[in-house]
This record gives sequence, structure tokens and C-alpha cells, in this order.
Amino acid sequence: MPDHSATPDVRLEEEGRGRWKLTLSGPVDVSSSARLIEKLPEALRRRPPRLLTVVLGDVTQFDDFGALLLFHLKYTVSENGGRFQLADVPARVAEILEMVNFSGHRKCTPPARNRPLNILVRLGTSVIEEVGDFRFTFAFLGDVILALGRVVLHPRSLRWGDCVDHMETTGVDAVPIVGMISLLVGLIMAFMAAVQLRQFGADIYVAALVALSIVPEMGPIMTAIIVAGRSGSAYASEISTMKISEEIDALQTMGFDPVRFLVLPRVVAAVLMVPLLSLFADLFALAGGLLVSVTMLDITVSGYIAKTIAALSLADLLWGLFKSAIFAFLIAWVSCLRGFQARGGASAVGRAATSAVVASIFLIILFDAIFAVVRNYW
Amino acid sequence: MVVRYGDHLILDGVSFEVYKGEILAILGRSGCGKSTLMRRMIGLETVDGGEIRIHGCDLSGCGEHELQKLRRRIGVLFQSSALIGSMTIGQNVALPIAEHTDLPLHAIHDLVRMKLCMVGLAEYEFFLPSQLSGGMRKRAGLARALALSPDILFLDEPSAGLDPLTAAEMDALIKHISDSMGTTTVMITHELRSIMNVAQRAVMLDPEVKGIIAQGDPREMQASSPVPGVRRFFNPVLEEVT
Repeated sequence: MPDHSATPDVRLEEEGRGRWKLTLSGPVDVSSSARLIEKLPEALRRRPPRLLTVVLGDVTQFDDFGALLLFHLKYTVSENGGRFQLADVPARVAEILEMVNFSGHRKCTPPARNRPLNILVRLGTSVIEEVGDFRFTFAFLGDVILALGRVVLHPRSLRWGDCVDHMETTGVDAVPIVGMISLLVGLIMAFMAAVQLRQFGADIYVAALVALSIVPEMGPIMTAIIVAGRSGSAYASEISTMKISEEIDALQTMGFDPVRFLVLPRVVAAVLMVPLLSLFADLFALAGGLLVSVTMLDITVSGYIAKTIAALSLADLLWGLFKSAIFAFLIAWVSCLRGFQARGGASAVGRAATSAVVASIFLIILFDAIFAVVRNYW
Repeated sequence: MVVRYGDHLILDGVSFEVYKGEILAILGRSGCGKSTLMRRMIGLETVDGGEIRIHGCDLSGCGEHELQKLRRRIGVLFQSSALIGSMTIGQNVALPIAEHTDLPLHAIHDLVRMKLCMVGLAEYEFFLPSQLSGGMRKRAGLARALALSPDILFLDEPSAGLDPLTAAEMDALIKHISDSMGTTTVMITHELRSIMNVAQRAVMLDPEVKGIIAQGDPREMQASSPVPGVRRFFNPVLEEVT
């Protein structure tokens, strides 16, 4: 292995009348230049020469790190109004200096960074981009709805194999985490309610409180947020990866409709599975409430179940399931949309996944608010 | 060395040397294990039998610290260039220099400009990889491979996918860098033109033999190799192939 601790021999001699001679010998390359690059120019700054001659005849190894050292010597001397020259330059050194344009005739001067654009230009550009995004978003929504309509008319046109795979990953695989979180939320809700209601002797209403807040409201929202985090991010990253690696372009050139091929199986799987997950979430949350009521409040199991059934109506359950289906559509749609909008490299995949989760949660909350108003006033 | 994927034998008894300062081409048909071989040679994966020595150091036997030290003396150009997409070309080249040297920031900037000058991309320092053509990305990848002035340069298909003119420019660049810097270059390719233009010696792998079927001067291999597989590779005749 080459000796990377090797140091070049450096001799700086004054020849009189501001003329200096710097003789470099040995390796002037990656192994040594980093050490010299600060020291030598600093020494020259202290006593700026009128003429610096660098003698390279005894240089044994030379590379672009060596050229960098010479560059810095040259700049230091010329900054102080002196002249710089090379002497006794071996052919290989000359070749490397030529490669890096040392002479300065073809000096590399990269273009200055683009100046920030005028604020009006930036505003206009951003408006145009937003309008473009807006159009794409609605066109995509239209494509998905039309494709869904086609599936309803021609169920065989759906890729059922892919759909079943997505049903498994979106639905079945999510049951443990949905169940665990729902059980804990049911426990917390019942516990907090019990602490307050016990003061008024109204312990028995814990069952109704848990049932009415979980089944039509919290169950669907919790499930949707978990699905957004688990499956929405997965949809966006899968599709964005396909997008940046030109797989979607390949599908199009083969005559496939990417929406039908990639989006519909995900949308259908989510719309079928999320209401079922929501149902599981309701059951687990009610079980959490039951656990607290039986252990803390001396309520019997049958009493808790009877109060829960009395508090709930079929409409509450169906309303919760309907909301879940809508949330599922929104999650799958916006996540696939973010995947299709990805541009660039690997970082675009991360951005698409993050954006899919944030947009999904925003849409879930927004639509839940709309549903709350609709149910109360209509 | 021996390399397996599960029960599937990829390379069996492959043995050769690379001499200081030479340009060696490793060639062969698709699927013969060229890239598999390179991944072992640069220490990304280990061999299932045998050993690979670089500067006398056995890659399988040396510790992680030793391997890291060795990697600083090796430059690699990947087939896809493997530039980091979120960084500009200049930042890509600066990355290993900033990590492995004590150079001050302004000197790193000057050095990056030099490296980009060497590969003819001086004006593209602030461009993102996605804004460059395939040939430019290859050259930027080469500039990054040269960042620490390596003793050994590994190039995986440096001119694949480029038009003939750009491929010839890339070949000339590789030869020029190797000649002037004295870099040992191991080039994996199946581009005949590159092999003839650049390589001083070649090692040819064969997917059926799962090893080397010929090595030597590629011009002599083309002109007078007694091995039928080598003759077919260098002088493909449509009727024979079909």
C-alpha cells in the first residue's frame, strides 16, 4: 500500500529583491497536500514575494491535490501583487496541470448561482404551478371515479388478484395495531368518564358515553388515521418509486391505463377493508370500556352490554361505516395522487409518502367536520 | 474466488491479478458475473471461497476499520452513476473530500471545480443529477470516483448506454486520467469499442464455465484466440449467434 504519511521536502529560499524559490520534492499529492495547503500560503502572506518560482523537478508523485496546492500558492502570490512561475516541470505534472486548466487560459469559472427571481415572477410561477396541480388533482379524481364506474359495470375489468393482495396488506395486516390502539382508547375514554361521572353517581352512563363517541365518531377516525399512516404512505411510496423509475411510463406505452392498473385495486381494497377495520375498532374500544366498567365501577358485563345496545341505533353503526368508506376512498385517492405527482430522485419518494399522510389526515378531519354538520342539520 | 447465490454457483475458481498502473477490462456476456465480481472486489460483498487482496490486504480478513481505510484509496463508478439525487453535482463530488480530508472549505470548493474540469463539467457544478444527460451523469460519477485521487479506479460499464461519440469521449477521458495520474483501472464492460480503445489487458468470463476462459491483450484475443467463446465475443457473426 502506498505510504500516505509521506511528506514532501519543502525548501523556501530568498534569492534577493523579493524573489523567492520554492523547491518541492517527493510526493505532492493527496497524501501531503492537505497539510501544506494552509501552511505554505500563510508563510507567503507574511512575506509576500514579488516573484515566486516553484521548482517541481524532484516531485515523485503528483495529482490534482498537488495542483490544488499550486493553485493556492499562485492565488496567494497574485493577491499580493506578485508573479508566480513554475520551473523544471516534469511531463506528467504538466499533463495533470493541463487537465485541471491550471494555466488559467481556460480557467474554470462556474456560472454564478441564479439570482433570486423578482417577487412578481415568483408569485406568477407559483400560481401557474398551483393551477396546474389543481387541474391534475381534479383530472385524477375524475379518472378514478370514471374507472370505478367502469368496474361497477364490468367487474371483471378490475385486477382482482392485486385487489386481494392490497386487501390483505391494508386490512388483515392492520387488525392487530387497530385492535390494540382501539382497546387502549376505549380504556382511556371509559376511565376518564368514570372519574367524572362517579362524582354524580352516574357511573352507568359510561357505557353510553363510550358507545356514542366510538361507534359513529372515534372508531372511523382512529381507523382512518392508522390506515393513512400505514397504507397511505405505502401507496404513495410504491407509486412514486414506479413513477421515478419510469415503470408507469412503461405501463402506458404497453397500453395499460395506470389508474386502472395501479389505483383502482388500491381504492377498492381500501373501501372494502377500512369499514371492516372500523367495525373491529368499535368492538375493541367497547371491550376496553367494558373492562374499565367491570373492574372499576361494579357494573356487570350484561348491564354494560344492555346499556351499550340501548344507547346505539343501527343508524349510528351504519353512519360510522359509511364515513369509513368515504375516508378510505380519500386516503387511497390522495395517496395514489401524491405518488403520481412525484418528480426527481429518491427524495421525491419520501416527500410523496409524507405528503400523502398529511393530506390524508387533513381530508379525514375536514370531511368528518362536514359529516358532523350534515348529520346534525339534515 | 468462489461466489454463490444460495445453491446457484456464479463464479468458480476465478483467479487473476491486476498490475499497478494498468487498465484491465473484465468482460464477458451478460450474466457471466462481471458486476458480481466487481461488488466483491470493492468489498461490498464477501466471497464464498478464496480471497481478494488489494495492496496485499485480504478484503475478507481485514476488519471494518482497515476496510474503510482501503476504500479511501479506491474510486468506484457505478453503472447507474449512483449520484445522490438531492445534491448538486458539486456537492456530490465534495462529499467524500469533506468527509475524508482536512482541507478547508474554500480549498474543497477549488478542488471540486478542478475535478469537474477534469471531466469537462466545470459549468455544471450547481446542476442536480436529474438535470444532466446520461453521459454527463457518468462523467459526474467519474469525478466523484476520482474525488480522493484513488490508486485504483473501478468502473462498471462506464460507456454503456451512451451514443458512440459520447462513449468514445468517455473512453478517452478514462485513458487520459489513468495515463496522467498513474491510476490502476479495473473496468467492467462488454463494449468492444471501449475494450479496444482503452484496455491494456482483459480478463474474459464465461457464464457456462463460471470462470475465466481467456486473459491477455484484447487485440491479440480478438485476432487469434483459440477459444471459440472468445472468438465469437470479439467477432460476432449473426448466423452463428442465431
